[in-house]
Amino acid sequence: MKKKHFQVVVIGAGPAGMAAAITAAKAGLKTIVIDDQRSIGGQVYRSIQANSDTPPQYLGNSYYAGTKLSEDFACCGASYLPGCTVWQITETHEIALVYSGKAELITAEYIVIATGAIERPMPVRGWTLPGVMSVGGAQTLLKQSALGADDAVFVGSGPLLYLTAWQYIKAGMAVRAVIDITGTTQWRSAFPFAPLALIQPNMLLMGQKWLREIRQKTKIITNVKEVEIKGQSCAEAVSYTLSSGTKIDLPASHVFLHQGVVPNVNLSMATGLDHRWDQKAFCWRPVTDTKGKSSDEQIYITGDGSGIGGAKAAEISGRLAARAIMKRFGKFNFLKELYYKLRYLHCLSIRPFLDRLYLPPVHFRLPQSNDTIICRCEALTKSDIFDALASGATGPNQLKAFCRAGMGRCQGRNCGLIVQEMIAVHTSQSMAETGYYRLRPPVKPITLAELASLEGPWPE
Amino acid sequence: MARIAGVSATRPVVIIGAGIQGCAAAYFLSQRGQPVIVLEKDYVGRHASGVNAGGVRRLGRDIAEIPLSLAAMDWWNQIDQLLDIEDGFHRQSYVKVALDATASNLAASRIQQLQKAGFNHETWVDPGQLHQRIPHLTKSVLGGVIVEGDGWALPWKITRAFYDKAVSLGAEFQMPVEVQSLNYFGDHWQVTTDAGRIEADIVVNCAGAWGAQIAQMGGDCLPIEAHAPMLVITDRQPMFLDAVIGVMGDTLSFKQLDNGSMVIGGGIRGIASPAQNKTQITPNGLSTFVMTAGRVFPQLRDVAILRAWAGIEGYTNDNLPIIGLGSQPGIIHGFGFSAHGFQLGPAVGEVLADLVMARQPRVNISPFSPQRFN
Amino acid sequence: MFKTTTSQSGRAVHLSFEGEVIAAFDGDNVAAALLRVGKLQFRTAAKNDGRGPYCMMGVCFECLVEIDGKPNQQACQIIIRDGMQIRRQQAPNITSEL
Repeated sequence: MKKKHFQVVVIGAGPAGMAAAITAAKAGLKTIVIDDQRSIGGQVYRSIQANSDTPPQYLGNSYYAGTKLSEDFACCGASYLPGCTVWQITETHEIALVYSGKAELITAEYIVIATGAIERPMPVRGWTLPGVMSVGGAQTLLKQSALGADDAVFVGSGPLLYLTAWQYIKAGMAVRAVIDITGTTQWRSAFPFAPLALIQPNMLLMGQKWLREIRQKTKIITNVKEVEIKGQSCAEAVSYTLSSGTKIDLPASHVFLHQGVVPNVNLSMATGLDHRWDQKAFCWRPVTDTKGKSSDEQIYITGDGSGIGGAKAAEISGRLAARAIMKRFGKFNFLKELYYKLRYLHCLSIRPFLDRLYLPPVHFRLPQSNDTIICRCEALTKSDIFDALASGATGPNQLKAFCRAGMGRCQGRNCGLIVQEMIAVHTSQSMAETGYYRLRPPVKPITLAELASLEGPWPE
Repeated sequence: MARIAGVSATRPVVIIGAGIQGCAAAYFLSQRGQPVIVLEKDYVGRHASGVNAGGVRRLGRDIAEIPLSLAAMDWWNQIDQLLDIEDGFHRQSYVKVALDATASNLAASRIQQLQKAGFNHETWVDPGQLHQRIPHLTKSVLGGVIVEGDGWALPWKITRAFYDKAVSLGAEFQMPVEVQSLNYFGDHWQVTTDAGRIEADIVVNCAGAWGAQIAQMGGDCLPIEAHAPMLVITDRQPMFLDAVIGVMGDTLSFKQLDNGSMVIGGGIRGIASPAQNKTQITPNGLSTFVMTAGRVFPQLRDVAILRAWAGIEGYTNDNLPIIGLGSQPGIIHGFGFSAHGFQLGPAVGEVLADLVMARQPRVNISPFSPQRFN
Repeated sequence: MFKTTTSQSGRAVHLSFEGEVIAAFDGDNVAAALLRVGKLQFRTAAKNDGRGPYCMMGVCFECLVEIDGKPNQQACQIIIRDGMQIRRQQAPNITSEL
């Protein structure tokens, strides 16, 4: 079968992916967007098209900022393939897909990886109990399915925690409490970057507004040093310890956890692109130039997938990447490029402040109890990991062999950063020296029959 | 052929490579009281030895290799006692099924050929027996060649266990340390590494896919090519298989681990970049051997593949390993196992230890002589 | 307990979960449909511990269910169909059949 060929293949249809596709397609480049999700928007603008017909107001203005982008995308001329999984990008820029149960290879002159962010794991005791979800998950239910839970407890830190709690309150849900784990030392380290953040006063004012309106309806608990979720077969209570030592149990059957987002690097790492450890943002990010070009000349990485910047920055970085690709096809507009570059810098001005303020404290990044589950897929606890370290595992990849951590379906998305930091602490190495799991295709699990379909139909 | 004068008390034996062969050689030498230093550029079992399919088989071997394989099997049958481990070897059976008439004929002539050479371990098994033993096997199977008592092991676990045991007996491992040059000074070798120099009476080259480079440093031109045979692992399934399955005349190895996952491989190659320590998976290659698995077990269509990987291995042009003395005194080679060296490991370790100590190995290793490429 | 935050309601679709008939909204994904009626535990993991939807974006693999006999389906990624038969995904009993 002849492989379909595109000048630009964009992977992901969040703000970065949509913006890249719009720019490339409008410039006349044959462009396709491949989306793991069922409709455009990515996570931040999830279900934006469906919600634009009868907009629930509780989602707020920052969400509806995506309406214009989604409308532009719909008429930009790029092809769109929803519900399609990319499971490998080869060195010759073949892209292996699974779509409707069938595998296919397509080829691309340029690839734009726009796979966004995932939430940083928050390994508190009991975080695997049914009823415990990530805040991102709770927000997705609100956007996509108009579902909210009464009397939920929100735990963690970061803008998404407060935005979602605010959306919950606006949607008329009773929120039992917001437990903020941000430590006082973080305020101190973030403070010097506050003037830079003031370049975006609207963002800061919006944050203030969320806090004010949340406080009117529920309590925000601060100075918390430990959190645990209790329950037999489902979540029943959040137990938290204040820095004064007081321990309080709060009954809750829905607990939403969040301590920031990190670039979703599974595809870019499995593709073999160069990555570096960003100690300030405390995450891995692909090595790119200012326009997103990765260590492979023909692959660009944009949006939160290349470093967390938020939806607006993602949109602009998508445009910058597409413009860099256009330039290589001989289409260049100096003024427009300069315009986007300046807007991009403007959007990022708040990040140094946010990165420092919302870097979760180490005792929330690392598990505190021996029976806290670390690798959710293989149900491995902190002591299982330490046993493997004690018997001689010296890095994440050896740990996989010792105890199967990171070998399950999620390919380390849940446990990778926790395991890396546990090893770094154990071996007194830096996070960069410790390294990460060696990721391999398929980037998401595919079935035997799907894989074999490259050859033909599965034998009966 | 070079002669080995014997080992002096002062200088150690240097083994290059901490794969299964290097670790097994280190074990046997340490056990015999010989000081050993193992130099490894990555870590124990980083490449083919740690990530191969783990087949422990006598089935399907080149006749020249069978005596070595049988000797290795003696060690496998006592591997737990040897290495102080549990469940080191999953003793089952190994079956190569015949899916068409050509394959059946191939099987028949293979069995005949082996019998002529005096080996009876491979026998024919008819479809009725196969279906009784392997419930989900395709109805269209015509029979197969079986070896009872073959099975599988976790390659990383065994390589690691040889390492642990060697260390406990006094072997020294330096890693990550990369060998840069080898120089012979009439009565000893100087091994230059990125971490300094070591003097050795004898150098043992167990560098796998990098073995030809080391051989070159030691004055031997031994042609091997690096390839990256691919494997996939599935998520856990209820236990249904207690045999390792191959396909006569085709590339497949198929087993179910004791946690329920299935490991599927067989030798279809990805892309190896030994200089960068990298391998690349080829989607079409994966598809080929997964389809072969489907012909044997069609009911597994919806089982998910969690990972694909490939290890870098050195292949010779006749698919036989290189085991023996090099052209200069005091260099011994043990590499180029062409993706079937894992089972041989314990016996190769013993042979290499014999060669170091100028003893006659208990099996004939002349078919593996480095001199065959002259 | 999850509840609907808007007055909007889609066409009703019926599913079965562990044999129990469940009314759901057309267009829901499987995870949302089950959460809507208070089902929180979707599967058992390697040590028989219960798990349910966590990330809702397809990366955590905690919401796996069996749909119409097909195992390990990501409930948060699949849109419901009338008559869908859904069961909890049980960690395989690896000693059962030998």
